[in-house]
Amino acid sequence: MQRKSLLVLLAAASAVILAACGGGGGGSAASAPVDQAGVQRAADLVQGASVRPSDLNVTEPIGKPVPPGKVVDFVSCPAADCNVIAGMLKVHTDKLGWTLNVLTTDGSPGSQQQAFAQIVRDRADGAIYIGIDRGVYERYLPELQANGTWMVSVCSTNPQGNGIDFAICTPDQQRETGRLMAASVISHSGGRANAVYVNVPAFDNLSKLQDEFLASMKELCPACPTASQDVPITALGNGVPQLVVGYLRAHPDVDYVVLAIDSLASGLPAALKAAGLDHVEIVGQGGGDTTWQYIKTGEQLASVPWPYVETYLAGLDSIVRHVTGVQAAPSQLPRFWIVTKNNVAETDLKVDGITPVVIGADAKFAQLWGASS
Amino acid sequence: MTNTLERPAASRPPATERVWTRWATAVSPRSIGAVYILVVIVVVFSIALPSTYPTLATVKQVANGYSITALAALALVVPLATRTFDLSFAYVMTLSGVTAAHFVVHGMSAFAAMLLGMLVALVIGVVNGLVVVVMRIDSFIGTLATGSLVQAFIIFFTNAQIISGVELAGGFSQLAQVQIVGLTGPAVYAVVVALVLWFVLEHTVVGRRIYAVGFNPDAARLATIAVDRIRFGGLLVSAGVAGFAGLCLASSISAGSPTAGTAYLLPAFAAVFVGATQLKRGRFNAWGTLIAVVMLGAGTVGLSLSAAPNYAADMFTGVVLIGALAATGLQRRRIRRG
Repeated sequence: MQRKSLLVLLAAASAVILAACGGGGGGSAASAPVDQAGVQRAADLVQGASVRPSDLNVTEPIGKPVPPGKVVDFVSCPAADCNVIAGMLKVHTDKLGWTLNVLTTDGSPGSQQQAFAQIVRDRADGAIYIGIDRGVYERYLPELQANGTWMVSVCSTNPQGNGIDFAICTPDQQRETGRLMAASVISHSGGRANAVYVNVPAFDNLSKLQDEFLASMKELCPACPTASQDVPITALGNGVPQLVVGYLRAHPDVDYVVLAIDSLASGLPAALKAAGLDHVEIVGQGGGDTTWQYIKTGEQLASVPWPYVETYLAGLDSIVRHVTGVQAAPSQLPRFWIVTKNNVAETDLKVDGITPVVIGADAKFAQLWGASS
Repeated sequence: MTNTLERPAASRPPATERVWTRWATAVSPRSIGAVYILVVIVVVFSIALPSTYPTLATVKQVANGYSITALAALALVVPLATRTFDLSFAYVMTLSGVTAAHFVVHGMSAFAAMLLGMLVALVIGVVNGLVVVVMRIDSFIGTLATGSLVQAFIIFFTNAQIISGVELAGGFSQLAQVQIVGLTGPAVYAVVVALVLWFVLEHTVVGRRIYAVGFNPDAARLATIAVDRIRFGGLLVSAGVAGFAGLCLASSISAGSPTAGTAYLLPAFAAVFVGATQLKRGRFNAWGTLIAVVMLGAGTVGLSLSAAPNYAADMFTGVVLIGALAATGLQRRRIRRG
């Protein structure tokens, strides 16, 4: 009986301590005057980004035949999206007469290291990998350089150089997305938004996205209260909607939820509806079929789709230029695009299962390489 | 002879005393410790968050937000009661969801697609039965293996892509998003499933046999109970309830995600093991499982309302799980000591 009582006290104490650890957070709804100039700038940004871009940043053709028979290794990740990206890359390496080896990992550093060891054994001409910190493969870099493997780092925090030949989707390149999400919130609310940014700290490559969102909110709408809520990576899958609902109930003035990645919205509209919070608008970034569906049904306000097709084909383009002896184009992404209910129908046009930001991005790259599209 | 006849009557306490003893046992912290923890949680958070926690909205959030976890945990009650693990249930949830979503997106009616989802879930239940009961492979390993095969099939079937489409926002989404007296569908379904499980386990011969198999399969076999048939049936029930939970999950997110169910693996086991410490002292049971889900949900919702740090919910669950399992061990030792 005494031990049982002890357990009860232990559980209660942990609840009290954990609750006490919580920060206050959240701003109160402001009745401060609206910065009309800021709202106008936000509206202009949204209007400009609502038009889908039609041009790539890379425009210089290779100008000579691409040698066939090259090998590219792609280090995949456990997320479903990585399989789709692998499929898209395979289509394009086939067009070049090249071989794509997909090295699957479970996301653990151990499995990632095995993948890099495999790249060394394959003596690949190029390697493309997603969100892997250089610390994981540092010890393989000398051999990779000796083999002449062109290293393409995608969506990591590591800068280009020191063994990384081409880095794209860097934290700095993601800044604009944060600004557009802020503009979308401010424009839609007419400068009267109270927003919470839902962040996943485990995805450290997204950190500057959050910084830019918060800075843009402050710049374009100083009267708009803005806060952040961190969610643990362990909550991805089934816990996020309840964490967000809990936050919104504790902060009833908040009327915009801004998601670091759109996949956090999975199940969120239903949870908001069940909690009587369906007046809260959702804005995210990344895109994907579920997001387009939520936007079509009015359950999500807007999304800034990540240019996945353009990102990975730019990485492949850098390998093509390397093996043909052409100077690599600078790492650049196309202009970003905001998808809302008005233009969501355009997302139905896909490239190998992914919605490109630039219309016909795949054909444009193939044209640069002189490959049949 | 007279003595032997009189002895039971003489040792039997008066009726009022028996009622009192039964009542005292029922409300003892040893029987419903989670309810006491729940009361402490409610009191603590009501004091800390007087404007947001002690409200009807919190009740709804706990009921609605943790209803699919409750269904997933209820799926485990029967197999665990027969001392059989089913680690494949989370993958079965995913499979039924993606199957139904696939067919809805391809034009089938929501009802027919859901029936197909249930059918494939039951097929996996049969496969589990064959592996565990017929092939005599340890249930822990066997269902882990079938779960892995189910996940492989899901990846093959979906090409690892989320199945979505505006068709899923129609009738299919109503399964989970329908509101019944302020509660969403899965919250009501969880209570109905618990009611059925409670009735079968506590008030039928089959229920007694299920527990008999779980407590001592050899003794149950000697008592002419069809042990294998009951364990096979337990795995079928698990697959059926998990399949239904998967349909609710897919309906809730209006999509068929190829990894949706795996997130429920640990929370469901946590709830069902905590539930075994409630009401029936060491027996896996339906109402105890629901109490455990509510307790874990009440704590987690309180933490999210208080903007606790992002590790808080996991820490809370871990503390409660260790506490509850320690209590179960203590109870079992006491029962063995008489």
